[in-house]
Amino acid sequence: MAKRAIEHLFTGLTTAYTAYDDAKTNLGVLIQQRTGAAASDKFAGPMPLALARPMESSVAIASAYPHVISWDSDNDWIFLAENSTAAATRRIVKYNYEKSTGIFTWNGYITLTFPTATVHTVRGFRMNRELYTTGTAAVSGTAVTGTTTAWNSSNLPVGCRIGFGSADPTAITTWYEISAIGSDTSITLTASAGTVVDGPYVIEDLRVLISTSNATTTNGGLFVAKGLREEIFAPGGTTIAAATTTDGLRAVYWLADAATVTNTIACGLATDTKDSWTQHHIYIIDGTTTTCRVYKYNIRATLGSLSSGKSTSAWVLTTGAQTPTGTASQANNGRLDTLSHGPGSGDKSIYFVTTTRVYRAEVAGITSGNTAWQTDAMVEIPPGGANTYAATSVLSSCEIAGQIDRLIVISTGAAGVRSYVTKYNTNSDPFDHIFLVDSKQLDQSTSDANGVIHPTINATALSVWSEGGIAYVCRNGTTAALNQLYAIPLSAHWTYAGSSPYQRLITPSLATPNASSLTRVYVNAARQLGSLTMGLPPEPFRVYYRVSGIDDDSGEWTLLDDTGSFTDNTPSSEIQLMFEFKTIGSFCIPARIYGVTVVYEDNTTDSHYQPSVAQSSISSKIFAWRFSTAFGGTVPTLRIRLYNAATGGILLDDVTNAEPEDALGTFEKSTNDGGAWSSYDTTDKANETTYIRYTPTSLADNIKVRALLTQD
Amino acid sequence: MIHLEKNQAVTGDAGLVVASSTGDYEDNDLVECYSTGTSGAVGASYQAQYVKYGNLVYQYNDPVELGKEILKVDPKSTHTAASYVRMTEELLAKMNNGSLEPASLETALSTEQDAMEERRAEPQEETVSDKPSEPEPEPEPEAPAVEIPPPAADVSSTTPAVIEVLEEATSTPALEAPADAATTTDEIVSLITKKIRKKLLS
Repeated sequence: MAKRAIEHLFTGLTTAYTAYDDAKTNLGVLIQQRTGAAASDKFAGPMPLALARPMESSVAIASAYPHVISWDSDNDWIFLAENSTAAATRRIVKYNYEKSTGIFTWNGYITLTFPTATVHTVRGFRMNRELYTTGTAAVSGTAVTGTTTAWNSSNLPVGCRIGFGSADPTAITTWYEISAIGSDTSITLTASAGTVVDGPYVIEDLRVLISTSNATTTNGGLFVAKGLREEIFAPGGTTIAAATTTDGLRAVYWLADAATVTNTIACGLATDTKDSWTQHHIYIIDGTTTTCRVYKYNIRATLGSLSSGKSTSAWVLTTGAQTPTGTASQANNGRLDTLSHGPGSGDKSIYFVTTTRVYRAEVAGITSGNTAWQTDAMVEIPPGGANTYAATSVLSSCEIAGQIDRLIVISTGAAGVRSYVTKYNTNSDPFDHIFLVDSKQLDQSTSDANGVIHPTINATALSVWSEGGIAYVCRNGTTAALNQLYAIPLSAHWTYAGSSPYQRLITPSLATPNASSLTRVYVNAARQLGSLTMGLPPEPFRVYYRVSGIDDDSGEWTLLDDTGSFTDNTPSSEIQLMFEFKTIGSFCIPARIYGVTVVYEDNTTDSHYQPSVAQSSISSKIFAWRFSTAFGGTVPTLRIRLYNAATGGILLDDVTNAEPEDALGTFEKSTNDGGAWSSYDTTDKANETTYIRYTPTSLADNIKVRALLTQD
Repeated sequence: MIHLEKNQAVTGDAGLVVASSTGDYEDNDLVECYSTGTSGAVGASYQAQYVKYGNLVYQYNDPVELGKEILKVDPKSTHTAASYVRMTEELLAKMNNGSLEPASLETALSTEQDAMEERRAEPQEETVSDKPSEPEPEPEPEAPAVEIPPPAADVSSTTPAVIEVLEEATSTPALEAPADAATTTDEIVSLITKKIRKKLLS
């Protein structure tokens, strides 16, 4: 039995796990195989961290509160709201993030001119994108004619873009801007689209939703910028006018709750899904303590009685005040979604935080005047309890990581306090994970290039949006040193990797021909990224194996411990390895696996022994081996098989631990070069003159024999 | 302070012109505009500084940087940031050549004020009022372009004489954010005075 090794480097063919193929490396949604010029560029693992620096773009804009819209499977649009000193205008920044390359591209910005010229502070920010594809459309020049369309009554604004030939926006090659919507079946374009026969089309209605507080308090509230299109987020900027008296234009509208606004202490902004083209509700938590209530608006309502861009038509209701425990933050606080666990399982709810609690408010309970709209709350109990990590008592916002059905609970970062990922529970269970750390490293472009970017807290508030399993985390500083945006493959975390969508790295089937036992797995992975001085270690990973059910992905996985030793070394002709990764950690730097090697023994002579001619005897029918390599412990049971070398037929099969009555021969051992032979024992190799030999009780004469010594 | 003429084209958007009355506006004042293709119906409000200088005014966080950029395109600009830079440079020049005197600040201020008066008197270049194809916009009966908006006096659609600095007026933000581009003339004077005093005392 000889020691063999099968090596796999992550440079071969890959496939998405959803198209499982045992001949390729299988990748979970957030797992990638990267390549590059250097050997260290060729690795597999969760997508590496990516970084953008809003304060170092060509127009520096301090940014916060990311909102992400997935454009296609490889590209996300990331929008950020301006977070600099309060002013009468606010800018909205757009990046594109390409997942396959990990590159953020700064597209540009728009400037919102509010209908009130007093200074605004952004408290809540969302983008809203809806696709209108009903009916068909034909074009002649700039005139678009619809069939079974309802463009006008769907409150689509001027300024949006329209594409023809497909209802799938990613299939549109040329977009056109809408300059007028004359009726339900008539649209005018700003430029000719030539002639397009009646067919599918898509209108992309893109809006900014923003809640602000204002230096003049009654000038705050909810503002909506309608009629946007992706292209106007340009490096030179595009300024969006304040609306005046006409609805449905590219302008910023003030969706007031009353002639004199009372929604003056906005904490954030939570959006529901669109009910129809004339009804789409959003919610604003207002008031941080005793006046805490919820305002409900319909952002798709027709805005009547517009004056100076202000209308009260969108306001739906306001709850009564209900005092929460702690103080509600005003940092993009509030997220509406339906979790699939906990007390809110299956119930559409708004989750928001106070300094010491995570609150849940069922949407069904957001009714006019209701003073019991807060459904329940979860106390901040860090993992391990407050004796392990002190509660921060400065919770700042929460986000829902839908892919793993968990809340991301962010603190203010004051004095470096950390943040959490957790289930929602009301039974005083500790939060599930604590993550991020304050390393004090600055990730500005002038930082040492040998450092490793990571979302350190730096005693600064963070804001986060989770989309497709990626957590887009923004450090909300207002300087080049402290304002960065990170993409973290958070939902690839090993706790959740085995649930759909799978987030594992699986090797192809690795051949182990004639294997008689499995020995060990060796993994080559990055131990540290960056230089010796500036470097940081990646987060850990776990390795699993299976030797059956490989072709159809049905086999159970067995976890290997850190020694890489197989607990069950029953071999097969193939083996497959699987990796799970920790991504919710201190630095959140994903591991990088370069290669993996499986060592096993095959059915040739065991690698610890060498056939010895000198100590063997043809006449006495003795078969001897020199003990060449120590086992490092007790010698395992050995097995000898004698074959007829001419026919291949087996003549004898015996083991070292056979009962006397079952033994077919005698094993012996010498530690003095064959000078003296004693009974066989399982003591490891003693010296270079250690031999073992086997004498069969009976063996026919005049045959040619091949002896095979293996582990049993 | 920005001087705008009724029917003046909005910089960077040839299809838009000013609907509000001719006059001087604070940089952040909202000015009503209409599209030349919409028979004068007011459809948008922009800040006076944007109407005058376009997107340039939103590309800088530092008022000094903004002022310098504005002066490149309009050396006689009366935009607050431009005035600040011009006065600062004038005073620094005097200080560097040894001619700075206690009265220099007053001189610089009066020079700026004179410049503003001159700009007001100068004919505006970009208006569409003389274009025969563009009729004089008719104010909308329900929302006259020159009507003082109800309680929220945040939209400056009147002549400067009407623009009193009320509690909600555009000077408020500058007081809260002295480093912002919305800095008022009073603050500029204060800033310059502090700087000069510091220099003189050192």
